[in-house]
Amino acid sequence: MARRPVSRKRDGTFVIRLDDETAALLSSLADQLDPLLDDPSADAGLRRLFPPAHPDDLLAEAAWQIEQGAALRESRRLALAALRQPVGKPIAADELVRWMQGVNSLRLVLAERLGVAADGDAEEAMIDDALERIESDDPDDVEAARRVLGAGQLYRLLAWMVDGAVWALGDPTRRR
Amino acid sequence: MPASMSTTEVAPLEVLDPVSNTDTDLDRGWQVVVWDDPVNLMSYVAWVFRKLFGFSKQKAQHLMLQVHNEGKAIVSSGPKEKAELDVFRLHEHGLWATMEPKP
Repeated sequence: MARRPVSRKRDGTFVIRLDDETAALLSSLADQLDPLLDDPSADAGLRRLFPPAHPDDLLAEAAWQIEQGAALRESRRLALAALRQPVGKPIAADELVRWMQGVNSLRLVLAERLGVAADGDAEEAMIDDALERIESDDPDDVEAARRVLGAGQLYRLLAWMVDGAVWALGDPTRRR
Repeated sequence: MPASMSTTEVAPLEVLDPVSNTDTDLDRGWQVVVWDDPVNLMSYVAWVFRKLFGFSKQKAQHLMLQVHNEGKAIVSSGPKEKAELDVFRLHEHGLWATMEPKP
């Protein structure tokens, strides 16, 4: 895999540099998440993608969800769609931003599942625990530990991708 | 026997000053707050601030650190419609933002 996940060309376009396996993984995760967006109340990870705008005002919040919910859902879908595009070909900045938002959305949902969202240290504790449990004699324990380690690894990989996109995009205030 | 109103867990509705009306409310001035979360990368948050609000690198960094260290920061203010747009765009980028009337 390239040292940086995103490179910028001199003509101002960008190239996402991921190996086929990782690109396929992103695409598959996007496919899994997309249909779940229709009912975010289903779990905390999904709810994180549709946060409240008026946490202290029920009526205003209800109005917000009605007025903005569909538009935000559409925006999330466009971002996930960017993850299904073939990598390695030049793309414009706005497509890269959508890709970055798509990767970040996956990361937000995954964080809730990992319990990171509640406590920043939770991730490390969970991984330490999994590293112990993977030595267990109980095959269910080993399987569960493998999944946690896999999720932890994925979580870090997604962070690397977001950071790489931010780096490539550079100063967003500069007129091009 | 249905539970009485006093036992409901629903938060009371904000009581509006009877003198004010919704038109005043719209123009009154709102502010947008971004809340800390342990997930979004600091580099990403600062970048989003620059992209959405045109802040300098220093200002974006300052606000991002304020969110990180103090739990929240006010990133913009203005009429209600502007606040709604800003909140929406922040949500699009995965940040948690809320809006509230200016004190």
